[in-house]
Amino acid sequence: MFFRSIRWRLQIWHATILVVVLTIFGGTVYYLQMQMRMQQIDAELHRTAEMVGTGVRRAFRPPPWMRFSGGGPRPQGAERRGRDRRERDEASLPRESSADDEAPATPPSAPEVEPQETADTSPRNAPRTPRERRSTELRLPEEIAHLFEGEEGETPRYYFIVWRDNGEILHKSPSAPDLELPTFDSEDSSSLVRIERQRGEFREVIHDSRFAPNILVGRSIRPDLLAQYRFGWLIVGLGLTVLSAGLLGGMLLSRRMIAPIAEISSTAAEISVSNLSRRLNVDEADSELGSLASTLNEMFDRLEQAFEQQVRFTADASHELRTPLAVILSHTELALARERSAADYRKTIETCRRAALRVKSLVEQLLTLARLDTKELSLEYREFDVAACLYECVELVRPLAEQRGIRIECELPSLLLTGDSVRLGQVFTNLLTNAIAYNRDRGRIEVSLAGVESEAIITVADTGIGIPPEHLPHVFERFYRGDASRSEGGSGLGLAICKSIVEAHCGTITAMSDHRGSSFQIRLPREGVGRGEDETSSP
Amino acid sequence: MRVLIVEDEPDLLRVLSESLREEGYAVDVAADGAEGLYKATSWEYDALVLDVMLPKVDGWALLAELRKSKSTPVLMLTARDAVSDRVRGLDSGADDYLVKPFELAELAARLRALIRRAAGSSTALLEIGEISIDTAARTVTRCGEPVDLTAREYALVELLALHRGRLVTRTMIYEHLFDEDDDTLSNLVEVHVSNIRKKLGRDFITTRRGQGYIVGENG
Repeated sequence: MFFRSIRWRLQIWHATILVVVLTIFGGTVYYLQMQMRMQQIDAELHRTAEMVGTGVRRAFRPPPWMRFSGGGPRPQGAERRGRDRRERDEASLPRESSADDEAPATPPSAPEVEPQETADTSPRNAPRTPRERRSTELRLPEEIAHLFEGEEGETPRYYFIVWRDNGEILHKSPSAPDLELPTFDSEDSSSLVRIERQRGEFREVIHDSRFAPNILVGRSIRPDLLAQYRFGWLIVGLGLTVLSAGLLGGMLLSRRMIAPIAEISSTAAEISVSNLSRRLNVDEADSELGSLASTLNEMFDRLEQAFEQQVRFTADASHELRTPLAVILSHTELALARERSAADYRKTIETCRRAALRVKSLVEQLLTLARLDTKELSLEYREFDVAACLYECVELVRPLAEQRGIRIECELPSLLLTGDSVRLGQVFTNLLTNAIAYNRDRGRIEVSLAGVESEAIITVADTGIGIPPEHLPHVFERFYRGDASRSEGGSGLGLAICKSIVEAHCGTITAMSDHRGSSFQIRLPREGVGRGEDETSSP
Repeated sequence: MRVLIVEDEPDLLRVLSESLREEGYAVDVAADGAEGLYKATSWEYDALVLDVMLPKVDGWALLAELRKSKSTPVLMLTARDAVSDRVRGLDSGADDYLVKPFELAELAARLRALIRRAAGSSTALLEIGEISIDTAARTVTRCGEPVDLTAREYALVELLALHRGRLVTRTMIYEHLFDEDDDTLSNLVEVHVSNIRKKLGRDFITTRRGQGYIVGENG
């Protein structure tokens, strides 16, 4: 649950990406560094091998006396090595490439090296003497000779082996291991073949030339490997540092980004029925979260509106039900308070019956509305003649109209319509009853019917008192009564029910009014669209 | 005691006026807010029974308008029983609040309490010398012996007792004891006073000639 939160998922993704990137980056750097190191070592070994080769060529004599003796006069070894190392350091860098490239191609370059070297070392004649003498065997250039000698008591890091193609070893440095020497089938290549290879902790290069002895120069690369490992650990350490910094930063960032969401969610959680008017903070109106907040706010607006409407409806409904109940209760209480005449009892019972009938009709109306709201009320669609239906309704209310001398005018063309004739008849009757109730005595009611395109338009107009403009927009609201007194009858639900029924038929109902009277217009689609079709299409 | 009932449901209006008349009140009725407001501001009522949902002027508006000029005790009748409605009712100057449907007995008791409180008395029993008046049971006793009074006589005794020590003018008596439909003959009050004196003793009511009557002047 905890790790399913967006914040943690963000964090985990972030961490994964960081780790992958750092690993690739660190691995690449490590690999490149290793390559570079090896190339340097190889270059150095090649150079050394060439120098050994020069020495070998120069001292070339038939075997077997041509042997290299590595053990020089010890007392002077250390001093000479120090000098040699310095020389090598100074000389190797600038000369590296030229020696590498030219030496094998142009053997005459060796003498070039030689005078330079002797010029270099000439001020130190005294230590030279033993070496000069040995050079008849295998005279290695000064700058590399010490490499194969090693510190006192230590095995030298470098070694070399010179052998012929037939396997006969010509020269070998003291520390050279016993290797199975490769023989090369280099007949097809006339030039020098240079091979690099790794043998455990040793790096070796082999110069295989067709016309000269083969040379293998190797060295231990243990210190280099150690340095490389150190470098590796450095990269790992750096990577971990970057990773933790990145994670920390990501955590702070994600917290910052998530904070408004948490705020929205906590505010939304606090919004309940008792404080529906609370709204989310929309300070960050420009960001995505701001628009989310305002979307939510709009939803809360609609909810609040719907809720208030519901509360008002419930209050109105309870009010309408309680009033007749109060009538029944108080009348019976009064009648029972003492002995009454039969006429009094009769009056009380009549009043109670009236009140009970009102409760009944109210409950029925509320039920109808509730069913229309929840779409439980099934409309029975069938084709019928609207004119006939209207005539029926008019006949139904005619006695009521005649009591007040109201004339009902209706000359209707026959018009077929698909819909629930019973429910629509209720609507027409309701409109007619209203037209009578709110008409003036000896007034007039005009009923008209017209088919326009795919619609049927039914109009009921009266010559009554009209509806004040401030009430007109509300006449279809539930329990809206305007100024009409309760004594004039009606629950305030009639028009609301009309509207629901018409809308269930996908029609519209509108009211117009001025001081000369009101008129209600119903527009119904003639091809019973709406719920009837929903039912047939639903499985 | 004279009360005004403002209620737009005719059956309820009828039963309320009938039962309160049987309780001995003089009852005026109004069927809508405008008429109710006119009557309430025109006459001195001891109490108002006011429905909230009224045509023309609703109960709240009527109450607000009434409170500008009069402090008549008002008992609100409503079908809305939400706490917020009750709070609103009491806050806007109603003295009591009764939710429909209600029992007539409770309405009568609350009305009595309202009238008593408005007159500055908080108990149902009023004692003046050897006379004690139980406003709840509407009975009068003299030295512990019940005295039989007509409804009108009792109403007059109660009115005088509630205003004990203060002058009650003839106009006040007419305003509080007779409703708009009563035929108010000028000597009716004297007839009642003389009957009461016969039953409760001559000294119970003191006449201030040309002004009115007073009871319990001496404590």
